[in-house]
Amino acid sequence: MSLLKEHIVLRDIEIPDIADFEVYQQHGGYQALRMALTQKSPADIVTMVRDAGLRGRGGAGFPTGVKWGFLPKGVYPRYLLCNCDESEPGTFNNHQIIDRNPHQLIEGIIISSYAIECHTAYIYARGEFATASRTLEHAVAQAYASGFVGKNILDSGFDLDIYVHRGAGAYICGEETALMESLEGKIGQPRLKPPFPAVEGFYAKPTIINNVETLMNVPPIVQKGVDWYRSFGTEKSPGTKAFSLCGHVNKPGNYELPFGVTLRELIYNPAYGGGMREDRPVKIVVPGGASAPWMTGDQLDVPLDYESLAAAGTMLGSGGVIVLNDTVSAPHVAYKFDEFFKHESCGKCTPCREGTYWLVHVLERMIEQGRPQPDDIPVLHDIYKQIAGNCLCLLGESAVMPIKSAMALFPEEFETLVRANGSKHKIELTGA
Amino acid sequence: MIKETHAAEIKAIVARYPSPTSAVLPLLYIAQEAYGYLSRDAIREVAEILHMPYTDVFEIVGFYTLFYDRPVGKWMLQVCDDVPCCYLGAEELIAALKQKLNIREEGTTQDGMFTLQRVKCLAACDKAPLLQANLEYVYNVTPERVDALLNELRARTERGERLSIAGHAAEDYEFTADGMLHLLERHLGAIPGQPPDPPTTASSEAQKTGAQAAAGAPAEPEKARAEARAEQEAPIEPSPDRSSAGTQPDPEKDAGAVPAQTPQQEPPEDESAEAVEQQSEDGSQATRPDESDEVRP
Repeated sequence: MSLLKEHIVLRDIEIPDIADFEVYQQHGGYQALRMALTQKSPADIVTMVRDAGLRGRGGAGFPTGVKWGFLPKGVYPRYLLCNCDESEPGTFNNHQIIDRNPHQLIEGIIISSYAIECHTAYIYARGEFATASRTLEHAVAQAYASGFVGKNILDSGFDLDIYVHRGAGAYICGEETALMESLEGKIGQPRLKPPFPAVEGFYAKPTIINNVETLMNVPPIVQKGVDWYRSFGTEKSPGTKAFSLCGHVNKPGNYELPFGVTLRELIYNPAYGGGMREDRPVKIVVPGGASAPWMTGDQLDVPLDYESLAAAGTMLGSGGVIVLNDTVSAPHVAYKFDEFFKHESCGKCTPCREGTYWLVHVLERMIEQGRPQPDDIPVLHDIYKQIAGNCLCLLGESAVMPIKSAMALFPEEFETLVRANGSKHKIELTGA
Repeated sequence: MIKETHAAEIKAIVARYPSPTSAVLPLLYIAQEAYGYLSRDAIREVAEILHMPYTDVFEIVGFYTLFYDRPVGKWMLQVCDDVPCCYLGAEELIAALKQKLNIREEGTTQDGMFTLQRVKCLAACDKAPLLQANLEYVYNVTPERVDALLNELRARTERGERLSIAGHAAEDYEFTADGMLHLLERHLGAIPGQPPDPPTTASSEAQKTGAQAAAGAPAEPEKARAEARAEQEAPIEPSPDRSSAGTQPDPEKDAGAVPAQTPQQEPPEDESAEAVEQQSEDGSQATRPDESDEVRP
């Protein structure tokens, strides 16, 4: 059974047609906007979001209200950028959130823009989200036509324009400074921080970048209050998370749960993952998108919240939970993940650009070609250690996690591969 | 020249940003849509419209994976090979597509209809393995359904439906457990003050029937997965609303409603052949049927 009596983000579970503009309004849609504009000051909204303990859902988990508070006083114009450049293996809720409940995102963007006193907001959607971008454009047009966006919104004197901007295929543009570079019409290479975007961001103006799911939480917080919001989740991780569950589970999908539910619940509850395919055992869990350190089948009772996962040596990240069974080879999983990071490395920092190349080169030789070298294991350790801590953004750091995890948790599989030198042994890909 | 054919749309896009350079990705999409791919001339044209150095725009085209600087098929088929797709049938799907199309990865069929690419995460991992055709998700494609998929895409081309290599006309589809291909309707409702059902592409009706007619493949033993997804994929009745979804995102801006219909993007025959030859010469991306060994990009 479901562990949530009321959904905050995936509200279509209770109201199936909520994607429809009329239906959304019939169920309280745009009421939070009305409340915000007529009864609250921008500072009130910032305070509410901070007190609610809303944390960024894109990966870092940084408190949203605190981030908003970093904006320098009196510096305008400001910009709000909605980060919809979701591209990391295992992370896939943005697209479905937009399909299922688009207007709550638009309302969240309007209220957040009011809170940070900006008059232009951009939704940066990854290029592959072509249909979702059309959905957003339609929803924005509906909001304009009803006076929720545009000039003098609801006679409050507040003006806002929202534009949908599609990227063109680059995972790195989900990194907030790379996103701004891309939106400025450049290749998506991250900037050095500081200055942080809140101080000097899009075209050097104060800029707030929030994830789709983060902004989805703003209207309910404003409408129903801090105490209501804090009745979900844990003390330090309030609210819910739309976990993306995929891999060898019976029912992959997006499931909204309060923070603090265990991995076991997510994987085995019939309302969510419904257990493992063919009842095979869990071998590897990657709990926060491809960049999170791995967990194993004996860690299923760890609660899914920021603190508990950090204590377990990993991270909640984007909440993309990849569950793999005992048919996969740990070195092969690391190889595939690092192939992703190699492909997506923007090339700016040498340790990441060259390090991911060499990681994949050695792993491919070892796994795909069956030609391991005797010192491949120390070489792999050496390569990832030279990436770690030496890159501008977290992509390089992320590329370290799969290989480091695989070698720490399943060292014998690497040793077996190296011993198989000369046998042209190729790991069988196990389809399901 | 898109500067003339898309003048109003370009003007509206540029007006969205503090500086015109921000419009470079949208304009490259428009050029790619109009010309079928981004030739050197097309890239220079975009640079000139935005007063950007040519090299900056060439660099951008090279950086972003969805810009194609060589002729591609009318349909760009992209299959994700990341975790978890690679453990849930992606390699089998890629192999089936290569075999049916008789091309290598990155290759284009000789009739210029399909290009096949292996790509990175498409962010819908619950539907693994993932395939996009011109950036439209097609869920639950299996090796057995590849014929049905290709037939449907060919049929859509023959019907003269608007194809958008840039994804400007994207709708998503899925195969249901019975092997039928369905359009995933988007029920968003009308835009207030606008006619609820403006005529868009004449194809929407044909699309529905065609989608069903083309789904010839019998139901496959995919029951466990089909059941797992059944709750999210109940076929939805076609609604007139969807046609309005392609209209102007921002009614306050005058121009640039439905991107102007341009002559369909058809890579010039001769150029496309030439490009194929060049690729063959350097041995990297041939489209010759006899060289269909796997080549990883």
